[in-house]
Amino acid sequence: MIELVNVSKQYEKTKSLHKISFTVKQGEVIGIVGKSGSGKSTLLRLLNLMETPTEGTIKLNGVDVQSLSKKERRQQQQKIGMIFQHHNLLENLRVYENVALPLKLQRKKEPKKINDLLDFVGMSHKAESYPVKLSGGERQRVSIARALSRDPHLLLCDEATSSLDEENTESVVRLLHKTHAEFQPTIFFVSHELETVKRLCKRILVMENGHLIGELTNDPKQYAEEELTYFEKIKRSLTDELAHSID
Amino acid sequence: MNLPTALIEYWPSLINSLKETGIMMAISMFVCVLGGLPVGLGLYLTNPKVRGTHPWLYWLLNFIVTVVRSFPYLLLVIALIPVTRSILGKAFGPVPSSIPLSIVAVAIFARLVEQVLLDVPEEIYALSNSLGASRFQYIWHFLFVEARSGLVLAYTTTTVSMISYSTVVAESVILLSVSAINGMSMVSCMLLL
Repeated sequence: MIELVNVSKQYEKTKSLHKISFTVKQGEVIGIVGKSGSGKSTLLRLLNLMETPTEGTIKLNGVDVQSLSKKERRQQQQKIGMIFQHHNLLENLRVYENVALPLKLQRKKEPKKINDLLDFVGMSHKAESYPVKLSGGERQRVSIARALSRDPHLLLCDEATSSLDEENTESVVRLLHKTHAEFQPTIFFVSHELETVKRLCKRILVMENGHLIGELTNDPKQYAEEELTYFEKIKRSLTDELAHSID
Repeated sequence: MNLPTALIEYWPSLINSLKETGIMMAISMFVCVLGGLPVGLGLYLTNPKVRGTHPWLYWLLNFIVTVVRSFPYLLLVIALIPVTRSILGKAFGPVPSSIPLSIVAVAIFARLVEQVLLDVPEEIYALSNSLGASRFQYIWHFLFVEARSGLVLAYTTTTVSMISYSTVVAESVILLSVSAINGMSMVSCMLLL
């Protein structure tokens, strides 16, 4: 269970998040949509304990993350998997070594598990290849396998399909469906592509300028209404921006 | 004197010189790794533009490295003669010559290491941070792994530069001998040469 209460994040003079509150049950698949700069990635960094909120509380399975020591925070992070937009693979390591890297940090060697994960994401035939030889979709599959190597209870996907073409996006979405069915982690899928998010998530949080401005559920009727509101809001903010730039 | 005759005549001297160059290079390149890698890493980690939290330490390291690298090598060798003599009891020969050579090698390699580390993509830090890696793990399992080929290249470049620098040591001996014979100051002798 993940609980955020009035969470805000400020970087020097810029406030990236404003009093965000929501609760997520274990095993849910949550989408977060919004334009660039709406605070989606900041929210993920807070959930991954890479940063701490300026205000408010974040509770992961009942544990207030702000009360954790550096060491305890690192231990919590070991139960969280993260998938990045640019895959963030180490170019000097082979595919197998990249997937095994999180375990290596814990001084664990589990070759069977790594091979099973490579099988799971359909990359076992390229285990000995270097990332430079892989396509964008293949790199993202490896990055998913790496995120799963420590059996995470929380999987964070930061624009995981944004740099992929339609075909690879589809295959990554299918793989994430399969991951959820097999391992049952809570998944946060952040994207600015609402269509992709709708294919994966039953619950979608809509963000704008650091505020949580709405929530969509899997009710098609609400989808249609809320989607309209969402696009109306974005359209309005774009018109305002344009008006400001002309002024 | 033709080339084969010259080669036969100077062969023992050539072998001896090669041996001396080998001693100087071996010592200075060993010190170069031991000193240059930590100093370069220190320059990278303390850099305020790369999350460094000790700008004063960066300023100090940067100042030392810049001064050593920009100091005319011949003058450095001569200036270090008293230091070399106080450490080893003599100022000339392959082993004493390794001291100024090592100092320059450390400075050059440190700067190259810093440049290579600055080229490591920022995403790698984000990855290590997301995996809960400690600072040491970040350096060892992420930074050095990703910078590996660049570091090898930097070391090779420093080695080649040091071979060139090692010839200056011999020049300094000639300079001192000429100045001693003619009773001239070293600077005027250097200008004359």
